Amino acid sequence: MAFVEIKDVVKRYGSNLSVDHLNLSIHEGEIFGLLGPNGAGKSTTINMMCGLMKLDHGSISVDGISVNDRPLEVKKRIGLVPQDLALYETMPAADNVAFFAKLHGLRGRLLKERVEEALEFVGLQDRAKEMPSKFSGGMKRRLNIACAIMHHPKLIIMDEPTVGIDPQSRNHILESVRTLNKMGSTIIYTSHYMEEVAAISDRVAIMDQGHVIACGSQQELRERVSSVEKIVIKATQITDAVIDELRLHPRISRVSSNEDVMELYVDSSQQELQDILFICAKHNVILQSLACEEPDLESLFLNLTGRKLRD
Amino acid sequence: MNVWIIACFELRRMLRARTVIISLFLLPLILIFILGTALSSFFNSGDKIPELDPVKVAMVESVGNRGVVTSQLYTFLESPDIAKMIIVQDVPTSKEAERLLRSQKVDFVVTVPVDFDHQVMSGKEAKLQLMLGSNRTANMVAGTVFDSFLDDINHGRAVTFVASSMGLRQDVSVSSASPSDPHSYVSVGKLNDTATSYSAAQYFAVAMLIMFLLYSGGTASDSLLSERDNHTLYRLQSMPISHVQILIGKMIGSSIVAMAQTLVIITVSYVLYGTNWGQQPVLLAVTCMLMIFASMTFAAIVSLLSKSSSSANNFMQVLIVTMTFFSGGFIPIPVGFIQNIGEFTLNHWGMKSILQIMLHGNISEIISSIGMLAGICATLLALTAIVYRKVGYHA
Repeated sequence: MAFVEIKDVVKRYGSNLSVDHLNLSIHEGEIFGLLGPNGAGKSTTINMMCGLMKLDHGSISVDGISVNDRPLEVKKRIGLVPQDLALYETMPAADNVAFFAKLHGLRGRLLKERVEEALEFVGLQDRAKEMPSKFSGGMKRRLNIACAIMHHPKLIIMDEPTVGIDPQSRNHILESVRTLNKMGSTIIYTSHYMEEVAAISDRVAIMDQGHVIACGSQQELRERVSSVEKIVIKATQITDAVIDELRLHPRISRVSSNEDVMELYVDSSQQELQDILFICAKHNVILQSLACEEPDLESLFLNLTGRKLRD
Repeated sequence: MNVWIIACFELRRMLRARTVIISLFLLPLILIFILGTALSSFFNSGDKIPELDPVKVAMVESVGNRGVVTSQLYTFLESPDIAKMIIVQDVPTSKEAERLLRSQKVDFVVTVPVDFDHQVMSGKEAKLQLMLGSNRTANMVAGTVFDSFLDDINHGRAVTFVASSMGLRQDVSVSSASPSDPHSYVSVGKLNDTATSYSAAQYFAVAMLIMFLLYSGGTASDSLLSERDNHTLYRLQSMPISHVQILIGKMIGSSIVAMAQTLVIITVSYVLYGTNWGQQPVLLAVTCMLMIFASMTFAAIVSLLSKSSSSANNFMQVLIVTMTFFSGGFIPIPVGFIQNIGEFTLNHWGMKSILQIMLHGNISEIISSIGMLAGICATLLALTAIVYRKVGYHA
């Protein structure tokens, strides 16, 4: 049985369908990436998983416990790292962690040990007595994580934990996610940064408009778009005429252009390259560079929805 | 247990904020001092009846003009009770009297008109020429003494006029004006055994205590909404505790701050300003607890219904100031329409109860005010429950 089982879940906000008959299974011990553009329904799904929002239809179970029936039992097993920083800025970092730890039932020596451990884990052991108001954005993000892991939860949910931070802090957080996973926690990691999800996830689900449009390991997902290659051409004098003629080509599935860059999706770049160069030469397009790219999750999303992840 | 964890954390968080310490603990004590000192003239200063200095009155009388009525005036002024209040100094001319008044050697000037006796004896209205000095109290004392004499003279004249028209004979006299009459129609009493009225410091100590207890509700409301604004409520709600525990925990934390605030205001005002808070500490504590409860439930209702902390803050500010004004918290409101409006405020019942405790009023009256306060608390609690069920306390 899956550790997290989401069955036919529906959530509406008025007439807007935020989550539309969502089905998802997350296995124990994996890092599960939840990818999708803003408004895809990722945060709503997480809120329902944590018992913060009622389901309109369907069911969610965590560790075999129904969220609907026993929300407090489910919450004991979850460590939630919210998208927005959720810290008491005027209380020392250690007090922040200790407060949330106490609400998880930790007391006495164990409480002290776990607070120290959590702060050490995120590299803030030397700043334990300082106020978060004096911290940098990256340090606040790390403290945000410490407040969610001190009770050693079975399931850690990270909702966009790297928004707006420097690359060094981002790498530190991604490394922490891997370590937490090795320590035994199942991790759900949501982001609209495709690179991050691809870097750490064992399996990925891509959400769009409230439901999962693709789910599997990165290898499985790549195979779905392996037949499609992307050719990126940087050139000057790209006119509407050349774009229109390229679109008319029967084996070019998609053409997009942005100022002096054209992106073309073809079944085989080697076979179609000659035709593409011919059409460009015919319309006096001056090529500056040309590159053939491997398919990735971005390509898959584009292929499935016709839109980019960050549109 | 989780409720207490949240309450203790809330308490620590609030006490760390300097603005809370200043606005809830220091400001009320400063205001009690300022208002109590500045507006003390509105109040009797407790049990003591102020001692008045005798008023020096310059009497100007035409030489050889003294008739029966003028003689009665002098007899009246020389009587022992009046002599305690009025020191008469005969002055030959009005100019001389005016000079003495300007140089403040006398406080008041009375000129007996040349035809004073003739006017009275012929049944016309008796008038003395009075010249007021710069001392308001002296003017009031002297004015009252001479007015009372003239009133009696005129009363006698009226009686004579009516009697003669009816064929009876009546002499013009000032019998009733005689201070030798030992009977007094005024009896000075006490509302209770130890205090007749409260002082300005007492009144404003109560008013400020009540107002700042309501402000502690404002602080609680701010705290509830800041949890929402800072996203900490979202994290709290992901913890294994119920939402209502979060609300109750925060309310308890704020209530403990309000209790500490009450204790500080009462103790410091007693020690520094000598404010007497009465002899009923239990009833005083019950009143304060009910005020804190009302303030917290009120804050909860406003917070649950408000979209933002700024709108909740503004609403609480306006409401607290309005209620304090109508209940006479800034300045005592005379009997009338505004005072009637005041009866619909929380402050009114809190102040009434504590002021009755200060005056050692009847226990049943104090309990009646406390009962009214308890009724308001019960209504606010019911409203809080309804609002919570309707809108909840969500991130």
